[in-house]
Amino acid sequence: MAMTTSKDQAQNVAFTKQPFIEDVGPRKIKGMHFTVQSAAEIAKMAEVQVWKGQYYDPTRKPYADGLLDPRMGAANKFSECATCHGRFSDCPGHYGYFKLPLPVYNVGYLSTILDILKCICKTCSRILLDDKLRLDFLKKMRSTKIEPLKKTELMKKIVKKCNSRAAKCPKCGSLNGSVKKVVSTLGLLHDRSKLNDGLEECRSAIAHTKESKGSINIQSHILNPATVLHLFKRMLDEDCELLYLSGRPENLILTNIAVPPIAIRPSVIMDGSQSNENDLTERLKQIIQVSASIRKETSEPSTAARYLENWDLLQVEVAQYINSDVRAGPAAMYQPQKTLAGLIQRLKGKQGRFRGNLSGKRVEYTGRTVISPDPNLKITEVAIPIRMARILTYPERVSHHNIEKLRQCVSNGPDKYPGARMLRRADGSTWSIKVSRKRLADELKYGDIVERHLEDGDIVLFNRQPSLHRMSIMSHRARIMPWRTLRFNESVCNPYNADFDGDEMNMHVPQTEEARTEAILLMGVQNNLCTPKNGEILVASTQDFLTTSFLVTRKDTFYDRAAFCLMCSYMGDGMEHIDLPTPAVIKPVELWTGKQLFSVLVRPNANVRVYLNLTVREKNYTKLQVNGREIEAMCPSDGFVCFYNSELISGQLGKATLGNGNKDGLYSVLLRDYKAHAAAACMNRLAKLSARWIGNHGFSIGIDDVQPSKNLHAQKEQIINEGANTCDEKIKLFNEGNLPPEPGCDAAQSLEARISQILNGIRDATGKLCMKELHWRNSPLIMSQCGSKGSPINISQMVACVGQQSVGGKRAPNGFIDRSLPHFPRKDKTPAAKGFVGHSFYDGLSATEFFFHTMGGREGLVDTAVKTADTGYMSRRLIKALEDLFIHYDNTVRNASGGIVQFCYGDDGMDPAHMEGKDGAPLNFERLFFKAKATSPARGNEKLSPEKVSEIVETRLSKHDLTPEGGCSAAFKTSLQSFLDEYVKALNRTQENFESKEDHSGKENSTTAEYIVKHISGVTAKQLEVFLDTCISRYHSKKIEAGTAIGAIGAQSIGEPGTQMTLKTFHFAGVASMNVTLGVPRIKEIINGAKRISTPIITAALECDDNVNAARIVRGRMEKISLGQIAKSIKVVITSRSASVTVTLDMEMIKDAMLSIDAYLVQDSILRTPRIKLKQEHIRVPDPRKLEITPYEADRSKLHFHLHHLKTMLPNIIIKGIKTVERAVISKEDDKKTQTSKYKLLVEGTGLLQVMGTEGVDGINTKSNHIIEVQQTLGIEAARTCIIDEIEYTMKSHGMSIDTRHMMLLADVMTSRGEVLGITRFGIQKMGKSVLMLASFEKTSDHLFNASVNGREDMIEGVSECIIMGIPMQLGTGMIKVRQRVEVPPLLSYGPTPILCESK
Amino acid sequence: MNNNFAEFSGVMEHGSFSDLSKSSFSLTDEDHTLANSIRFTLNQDPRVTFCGYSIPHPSDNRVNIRIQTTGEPATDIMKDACQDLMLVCKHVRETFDQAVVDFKKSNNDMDVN
Repeated sequence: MAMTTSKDQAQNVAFTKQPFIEDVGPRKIKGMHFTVQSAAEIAKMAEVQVWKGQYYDPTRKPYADGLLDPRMGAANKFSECATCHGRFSDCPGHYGYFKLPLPVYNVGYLSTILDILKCICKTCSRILLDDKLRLDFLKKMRSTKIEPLKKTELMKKIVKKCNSRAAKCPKCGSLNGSVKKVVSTLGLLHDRSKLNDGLEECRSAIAHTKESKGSINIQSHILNPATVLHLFKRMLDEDCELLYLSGRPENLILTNIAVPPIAIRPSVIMDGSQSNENDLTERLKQIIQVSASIRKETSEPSTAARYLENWDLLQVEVAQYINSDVRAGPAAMYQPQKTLAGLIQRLKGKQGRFRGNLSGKRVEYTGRTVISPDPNLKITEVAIPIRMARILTYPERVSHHNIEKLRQCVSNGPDKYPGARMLRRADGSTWSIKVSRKRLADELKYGDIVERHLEDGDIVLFNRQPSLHRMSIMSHRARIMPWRTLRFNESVCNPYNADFDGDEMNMHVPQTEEARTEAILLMGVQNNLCTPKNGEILVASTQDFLTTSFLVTRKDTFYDRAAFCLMCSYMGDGMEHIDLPTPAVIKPVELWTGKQLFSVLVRPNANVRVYLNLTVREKNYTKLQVNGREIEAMCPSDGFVCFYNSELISGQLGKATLGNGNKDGLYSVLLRDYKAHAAAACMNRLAKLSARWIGNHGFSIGIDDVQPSKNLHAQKEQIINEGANTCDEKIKLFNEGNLPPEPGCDAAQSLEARISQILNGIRDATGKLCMKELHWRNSPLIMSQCGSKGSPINISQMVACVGQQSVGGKRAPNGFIDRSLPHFPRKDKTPAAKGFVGHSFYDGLSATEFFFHTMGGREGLVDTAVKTADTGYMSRRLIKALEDLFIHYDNTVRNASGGIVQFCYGDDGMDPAHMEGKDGAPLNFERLFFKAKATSPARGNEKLSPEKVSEIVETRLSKHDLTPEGGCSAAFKTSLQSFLDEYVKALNRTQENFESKEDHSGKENSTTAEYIVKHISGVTAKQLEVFLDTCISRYHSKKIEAGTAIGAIGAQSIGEPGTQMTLKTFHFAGVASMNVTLGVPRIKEIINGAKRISTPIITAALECDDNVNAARIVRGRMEKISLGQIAKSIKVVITSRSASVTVTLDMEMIKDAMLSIDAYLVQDSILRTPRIKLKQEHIRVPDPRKLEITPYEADRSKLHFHLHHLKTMLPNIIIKGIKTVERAVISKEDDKKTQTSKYKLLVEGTGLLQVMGTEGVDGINTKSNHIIEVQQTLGIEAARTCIIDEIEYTMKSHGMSIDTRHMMLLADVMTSRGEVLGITRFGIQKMGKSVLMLASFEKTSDHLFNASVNGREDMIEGVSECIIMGIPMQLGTGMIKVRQRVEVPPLLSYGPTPILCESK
Repeated sequence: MNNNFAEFSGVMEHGSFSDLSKSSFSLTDEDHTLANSIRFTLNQDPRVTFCGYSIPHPSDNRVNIRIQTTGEPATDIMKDACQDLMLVCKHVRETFDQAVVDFKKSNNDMDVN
C-alpha cells in the first residue's frame, strides 16, 4: 500500500532529488529481531528445493532444481525471474533450500551447543539442576528488569554450575561426564572417563576380548549431530528459557540449508562456454556432491566407517560454507588451491559487508585532485578546476529568476562550461542533453530540473583524509577556475592538516537545497573557525601571512601616501571604502607607519563597527624592569601587542597574535566579540595584502643566510668546548668513582643524566646564540621570530651545531662491544662517541656524526609509522564507544537507549568550542573588562569609588540570570565575583599607595590624587554595567545546544591529538631516575583500562612534608628490604656438635638508612615467611645483631643440602616494607615564594592501600596513576577522577590542551557502569550497546550468532545502527520531531467502581 | 581615447549615488601596465586623497582601481588621469620620435633602420 502511494506522489511532483520525508507509514523499520530459523521455516521460505549439483545443461541453460535455478531470481540483465517474473533490476531474488541427508552442526553455534550439552542430562535432556536451584534461576531469568548483558552472565553462571564433574541427573539419576570439543574435528565429546559407574562392569565384560582399541571409546563417546538433535528435541521449553535460548535448540543443528538468491551470488559468464561461479555457489555444489554420496551409501549397504567419514566431510563442508576459516578434518585432503570465502568472510573485516558496505558507502558527485594554495581566495572558498565543474552537477529547478541562465546552460550542453548534463521535466521524464540542445533549451519550462554544471557560489564539501576531527570535512563555496588543481586559502590548511607537497583532497556536491543549507550552516568554514577540542582558533593566518605582518609592523617601516593607499587597496581588492588614518608623520612628507596599516586592516572605514581591544605578548616579548618594577607595555623588542579600539598601539605582530592556538589572539577576539564574519573578513584581507606585499618585497633564503659569522663561529666553538670539558670532568669523576649519584640512580645513570643535561644545554645555548648573533634581516631568523616556520634550534642546526642525537630518549646505544661505533675506543663516554654532532648542516657532518644522525632520523620515521596505526585504531575505538552520546533537551548526556551518562554535560553544560578563558573557563574577564573600558569611554563621567563598585556588583549578581534556576553555574558566579573583588582590592591598593605617598608631600592636593587614582584604575558606572552585562549575556549564550553529538566530538578531541604526539615517550616525574610512560602508549593504557601498566607510580603525600629525614623514615617503612640488603654476612657455621646458618646484621647501615631493624624483627619476619618451615625454636637470637638458624632437618645426610638451601633462601626474605613496591624516591619541590622545600614520596609499584596505610603518609592526598588499582582501593568515583587527571596530565606533558569536559565524558562512559570498562572490544560490549553496533565494530559473526541464539532485539537507536539501516539518526538535526498536542485522556482512578452514585 | 569615459571598453564603476567622490573602477582585460601608470598620474593630482589598484585574482583579466577624492566626482578625476597619462605617453612618443629624427639627421651618413 505505502509503496504505491509514494510512487503516485513521485509521479505527480518531481523533486530535484527525492526530498527527505519522514516516513510515518508502515514501512518504517522500528527494530530488528534476531532469531534462529528452523528447518521448517527455511523450507517454507524457499521457492525451490535444490538437489542438483550441476549448473548448466548442455544448452547453456541453468538446470531446474540446480544451484542456478531461475526461480531463485534473474541471473543477468537478459533473463527473467521464474518466480516473480521480474527483471534483473526489480527482482530481489528468492531463496531455495537444500535438504541435508544427515544433520550437521552449525559452526557458528557450536559453542552454544556445547554449553547446552554441558547443562543437560545426556540421557533425559533435562537440566542438571535440582528443582530449587532451577526455579531460582528461572525466576531471575524471567525478571523483566534484567537486561540482555546480565542474562548472558547468568547463563554463564548456570553453565558453570551444571558443568561440575560427575553430575547426577536429578530427574533420571544417570551420571553425566563433561562435554568437550574434539580438537581435531568438528565434533563434541562426552567424556565419561572420570565417572565410576557401571563402566566397571562393562570394562570387565570387554577385558577378555583383548581388543584394546576401544578403551577410550567406552568411557567417552563422540556425540554426533543426530544424537544431539535427538537430545535437543526432547528439551523442555522451560529449560531453554533457563539457558537464554529464544528458540528451540534443535534449530542450532542444520538439517536444511537455505540456498541464497542468485542475486547475492552472481554467476559471471566468461567468454564462450566458461562460467565463473561465486564462492558460495561452489561451496554449495560441494555440499550437494558430498550429500549425494552419503545418500548413495545409506541406500545401499556399506561399511559404517565410510559412511561416518562422509558425514564428517559433509560437516566440514557445511562449516566452511558458513565460515571458511574453520580448520577441521584431515587437513591435507580438503585444501583447494584457494579457499572459497564463507558467509562470515563476506560480513567481517574492514572490507566486509558491515564496515565496507553498510557503515560506509561509495557516493556519486565527488571529485579528487591535487591541492594548491591560493591566497586570493576567501577562506570560505575553494577553487574548482573547470574540467571538474563540467562533470559535477547540481540539479537546479527552473524558475522565473534563473530561466535565462539555465537556458544558456542547456544550450551549451555537457561539454561547454557553463552547461548542463541532464534535464528532468516536471512530468518525470529525463533527457540527456547531448543532442537537440537548442530545442530542449527553448522548451524549458518553470518547474523543470536542470542538472547544470557547478558554478561559482555552489556549496561543496571539502575533505582531506585522515578525517580525524569534524573540521576535516568542511563546506566551502565553489569558485570555478582554470587549471587542474583544487585551491584554497592557506589559512584553512590547519583544520585539514594539509600542505601542498602533493596532497590530494576530496570534494562532494550536496544535491538538495536541504543538504546545502545544512552543510553551509553546520559545516561551513566560517562556522568552524575554532575547534571544539579546547575552543582555540584553528583557521588562522600561517606562514607567509605571519612573515608579512611581522615585517610590515616593524617600528621602522613608513609608507608615503601612494604606497600606503596602494597597500590599503590590496587588502580589499580596491573595492572597499578606506578611511585613511591621520599620518604618523606629517612634515616634511606625510608618512604612515606599518602599524597603521593594520589598524586599517582591522577597521577599514568608519562604517565597520569593529572595536578590537586586546593585548598579547608575542614570542620575543622581554620584560622591561625599571626601578625593580616590571613595565608591561614598553617591551624593548616590541613584543607587546596592544590593540585599542581597533588601533594597533604597539607590538610587532607574529604567531601569538595572528596564528592558531592562542585564545587571546586577534582572530579569536574578533570571533568572540564580533562573530565569525569579522574574523573571516580580517583573514581574507590579510591574505590578499600579504600575497601582494611579500611578492613585491621579496623574501627568500640563500646560502649566505646560514653562513655563520666569524664571531658566531668562535662563540659556538667556545660553547661546545666548554660543554665537552665539563663532560670530561664528569667522566673523570665517574671513572674515579667520585661522582655523587642523583637520588635513585646508580653512578652510571647519574653520569648519563648529567652529560645529557650538559649536551642539551649546548643545543639551547647555540640556539640562543644564533638568535642573538644573526643579522636582523636574516630570513630564517625572521621566520623563527614571527613564528611562521622554524624554531631557534632549527636555525642553530643549520648555522651552528646540530646537537645531540638520541635513540629511544638516550644517547646513541652501543651497537658494538662497549662502544657505539668502531671509530671510538671501548667504553668511551665522550660526547662525540655517543652521538653528539658538533658541526652544523652548513659545515657538513663527519662520517660518525652522519651515522648517528641517521640513527636518530630512523627512529623518528619508525615512530611515526607505528604511531599512525596505533592512534588510528585508538580513535576508532573511542568513536565506537562514544558515538551515541549526545545532549538532550534536559541537558543530560545520554546514550542511544536513553541511559544517563552525565546529568549535566561537563558539570556546567558549557560548549567547549566557545570557551574563551584558560583551562576551559567560559570567559576571560580581564580582556572583557579592558574591552568594556575601551569601548565605553568615561567622557568625564564620574568614576566609581571601590565601595560603590562592590555595591553595584552585589545587586547585579543577585539577579535571576545568575541563579542556578536562571541557568548559571555556581562556579561562574564565584569566578566573576572573585574577579571583581580582586579588582576592588586593587583599586583600594592604588588609593592607599597614593595616600601614603601623599603623607610625605602634603595634604593640600588630595582631590587631585583621588582624581589620578581613579584615572589609573577607575571605572564608571556605565563601564561596569557594560562589563557585567556582556559577561552575563555571553555566558548564557555559551551553553551547549541540545542535540550536539558531544560523544563523537569528545572522541575526536582525544583521538586527534594522539596523532600529533611526538616520540617523547618517557618523561621524568620530578626525579631524574623515575620515568613515567607518556605519549600514545600511556593514553592507550588509560583508555584500555589496563590491569597491568608499565610504570605504576604512587605519589604519596607526607604528613610531615618539610623534613628530609621524616621523608627518609617513611621511605624506609615502604621500600622492601630483604635480609640480604641489611646483613653483613650470612654464613654456614658447622661445628662438631651443631650446624647452623648465622646471619649478622649490618647495624651501621641500618642506622644510616634510618631503619629500625634488629634481630628480633628479622626473626619475626622469617617466621612469617610462607613455605620456610622454620619454627620459633629453630631461630636463636644471641644478641640484637645476630641470628642463628639451625635447620629442622633431622636427617643428617640431607643436612648439608639443607643448610645451603637456607643460605640461598635467607637473603630474599623480606624484612620490612611493601612487597609490591619496587622502590620509593623522595621528590623535592622548591617553593620559590616561601623559600622552603616540600617533600613527597614517589613510589614505583602498586599497593596503594598499603602505601596509604603506612605510618607518616598522608593517605587523603595520596594518588596513584593506576586506574584499576584506584578503583579497587578507593572506588569508582576515584577511578573517574584518576582517568580524567591522568589523560590531562599526559596530554599536558606533550603541550596539548584539551577541554576537561571531553575527558570527563570519557571517564564517565568508562565508569558509569560501576566498574572501569576499557575502550576495548570487551569493555564496549559491556556498555549495553546494540547488536548491530557491536557487529560493525569487531567480532562481527560472534555478535550476530549470539544475538540470534538469545533472540536479541535491536531498536535501531544508535548512530551505527541508523547508518547501517539507512535511517536518519536521532541526534543533532535528526533529533527534532514535530509533535502534536494531544488532549490528555481523562485520568481514571483505580479501585472498584462505585455501586451507587456518590454525592459530591 | 574616447571622450565618453563610460564607453571605454570593459569598465565598470562601483560607486555610490550619494557620494560621487569615492569610486572603484573595474577594468577587464587590463593589468598592471595600465593600472600602475594611472596610479602614477592620479598620485600627481592634488584632488586625490586615496588611490590604489589591485588585481583581485591573477587568473581573472581584471583590475580594480580605487579613487577617493577631496570632493570632485571620482569619474572626472579618473578621466583627467587618463587624459594626463595619454599626454604623458604622447609626450614620450613625441620626444622619442623627435630623438630618432634628430639622431637620424645628425648621423645621416649612417644607415639606421
